[in-house]
Amino acid sequence: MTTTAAPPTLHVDGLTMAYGASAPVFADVELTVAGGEIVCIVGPSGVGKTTLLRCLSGLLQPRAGEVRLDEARVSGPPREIGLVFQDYSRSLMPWMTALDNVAFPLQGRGVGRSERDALADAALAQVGLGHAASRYPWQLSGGMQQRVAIARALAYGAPILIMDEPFASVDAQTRLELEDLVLELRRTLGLSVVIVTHDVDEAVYLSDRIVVLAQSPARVVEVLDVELGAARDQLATRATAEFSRVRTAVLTHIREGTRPAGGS
Amino acid sequence: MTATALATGRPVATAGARTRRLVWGWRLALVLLLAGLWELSRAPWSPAAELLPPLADIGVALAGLPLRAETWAAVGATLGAALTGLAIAGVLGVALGTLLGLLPAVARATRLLVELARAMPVFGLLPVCILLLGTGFPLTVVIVVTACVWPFLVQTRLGVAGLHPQLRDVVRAYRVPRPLVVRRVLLPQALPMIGTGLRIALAMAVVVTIGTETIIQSTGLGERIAIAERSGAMALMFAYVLLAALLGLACNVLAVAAERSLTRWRPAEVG
Amino acid sequence: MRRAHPVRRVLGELWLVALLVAVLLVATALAPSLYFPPLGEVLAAIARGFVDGPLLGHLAYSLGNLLAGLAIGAVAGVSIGLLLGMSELAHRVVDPALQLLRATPKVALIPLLVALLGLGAEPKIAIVALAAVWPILLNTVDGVRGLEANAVDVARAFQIPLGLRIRRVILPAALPQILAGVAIALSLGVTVLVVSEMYAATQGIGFSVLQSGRSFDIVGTWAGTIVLGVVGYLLNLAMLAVERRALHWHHGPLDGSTEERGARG
Repeated sequence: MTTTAAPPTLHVDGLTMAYGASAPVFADVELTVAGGEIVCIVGPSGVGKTTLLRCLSGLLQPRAGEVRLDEARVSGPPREIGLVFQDYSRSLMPWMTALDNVAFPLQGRGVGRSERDALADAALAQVGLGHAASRYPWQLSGGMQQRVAIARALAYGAPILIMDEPFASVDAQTRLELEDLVLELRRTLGLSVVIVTHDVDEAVYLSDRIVVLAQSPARVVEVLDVELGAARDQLATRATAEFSRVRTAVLTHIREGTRPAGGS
Repeated sequence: MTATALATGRPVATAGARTRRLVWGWRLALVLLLAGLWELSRAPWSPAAELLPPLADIGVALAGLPLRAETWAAVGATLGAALTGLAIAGVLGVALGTLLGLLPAVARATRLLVELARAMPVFGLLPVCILLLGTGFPLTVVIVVTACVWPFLVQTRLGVAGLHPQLRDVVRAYRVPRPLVVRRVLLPQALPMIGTGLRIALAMAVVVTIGTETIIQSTGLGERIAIAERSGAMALMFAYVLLAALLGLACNVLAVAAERSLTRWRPAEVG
Repeated sequence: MRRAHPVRRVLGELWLVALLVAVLLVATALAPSLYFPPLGEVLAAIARGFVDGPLLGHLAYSLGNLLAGLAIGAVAGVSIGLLLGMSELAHRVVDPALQLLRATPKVALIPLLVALLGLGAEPKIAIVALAAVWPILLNTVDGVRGLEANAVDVARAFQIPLGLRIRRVILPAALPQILAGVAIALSLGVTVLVVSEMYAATQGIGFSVLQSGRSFDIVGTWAGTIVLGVVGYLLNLAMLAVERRALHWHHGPLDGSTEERGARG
């Protein structure tokens, strides 16, 4: 079993990002993700969600504002964050087996061979891939490759998962399975999860809270609490009144946010 | 191919067998035609009559090659020089190529130098090298290294230089130290291209070795061919040329196999 | 990508070569050794060789043979390649022979050609043609076979006659591959030409370099070697220019692929 520390709280204060002299991609983004929460960031495509995630994970330095883990300011990729990318086919090293892919970041941290293999094995078992450790990425389906990417973040011991459109490139059935995997990992390991998605249904199903990003430059136009409880079910949950209420609210905000306002 | 045949069942298989018979029929016809042309050009009125031995003689000479001690010495010398040079060129080329791939500033500064050196016809260096090194084994190896280092260098540089933005994010997000990135990400990523470099370089190594042996008459296949030509033993010369061709073919098969084993992690269709 | 000022870019690439030449000029002038004569003297010998003739004559002879051999190899390679590319059966029949011939180290044929054709220009042209034909032929086959089914279907749907189809559809589509083959053929051709001139010849730049080496004319040897290197480089540049001109409609991907192509030579 991977041992994961209790997740620190992720604070985002007045985050603003711009490239060169051009207009900001997003401005004044405020966000808090407490330990064990699942927060989805939704918004129309092209609104800068991926750029926001890259700032949250320390891959990009923001123009203004800051990202903190508890009290520590994030200035580069922190140890507490495990990243999962949309394009699974390019986020795994094709020349490494599933096990080696998962163990690779541990090798970078100087963990010895037998220990990192044991950690990687445990992480693969957690995502249901205990049997596929010695396969190469091309021998795995898209959903399985994304599971390997999740296992990599788990083995790294990161208590916060940040996922960029993680299920956008897999088929519908696999997508439901992976959504449930995320819920289960949160339940068993107490992880915090931040997910960027353009799929509103997915956001409602997964989240404790939904952050709607819209306008240009993008800002947080609404934060919605999702009162669906911790235990969720693909059929029952999606049929509840609360589900449709949140869904409608999110869609309305996105539509209003993208409607050309007087100025721009 | 077998997969489609299996999937569609017997009719395809029998059609395949028919085409195969047709192909072999044509091949036989072609061989007979060429043999006929050969014998025709040996007719008394032909200017090449005295130079072209009967095909049977070439066959006999070829069959007799394994019985001659100097054949084995020659093949050994040729392969020894080619492979030694190839190994040195491989180590040198991959090391320099990695360096240039990792340091674009150095690559820019040395680009013209590399282009000039690469465009140098390698046998042009032979006379100078003979003056400096004499005509022994070291000379051949140096010439082979000079010729073979470039495919390794260029292919490694290209393979190492670019990392997909997503993989760059992965190694940064997981804070993988630079040396480990070079060893476990950049070099493996470059392996298919280095494999291509190896295939090019191996063919080149054989050509350059035999060429050098031909010119400076040092022990090897090139020398055997030249001696046979100068002593007018035409059947023997053709036999040695065929042996060189088979050696080239074997090296190519070997290189393709080596290339494939370097890229085991890729699906077979791609590799 | 940010592009530096052209002048700065040229300087950025030139300075190391210039520095190296300067260092060699000074070092060989201050401490001449038997094998490394002053570079200034070597350069003077090159200039003399071009003005008085012998070097120029040898060079012209070599280049003439090279171009003649390349032309023969290209015509043969493209026409046979077209045939094999368009007929699956023909390709399957001759493929094993092609593989064997391609794998044959062409330099092994030089003594044979000298025996058959003598010491003149004919064996040189023949060996260049023999070396050049394979890469051109194989690349033409690849190019024709890789032709997009779309283009073929369009040509068929409009019932374009075969001759026109070859000239306006198949050849232009295969041109990038064919030219890449010619580039490989060029560097192979130079290699076998130099070997054949060194093996048995009475003229040519390869002959002249080897001859000066054998007669211990060390300045002359270095002079010939440098001329050979520069000529090799200029031939490469010329080939790149030809490719660029011929493939102007196809510019984008070419820029990136030229380097890899060069390595195959």
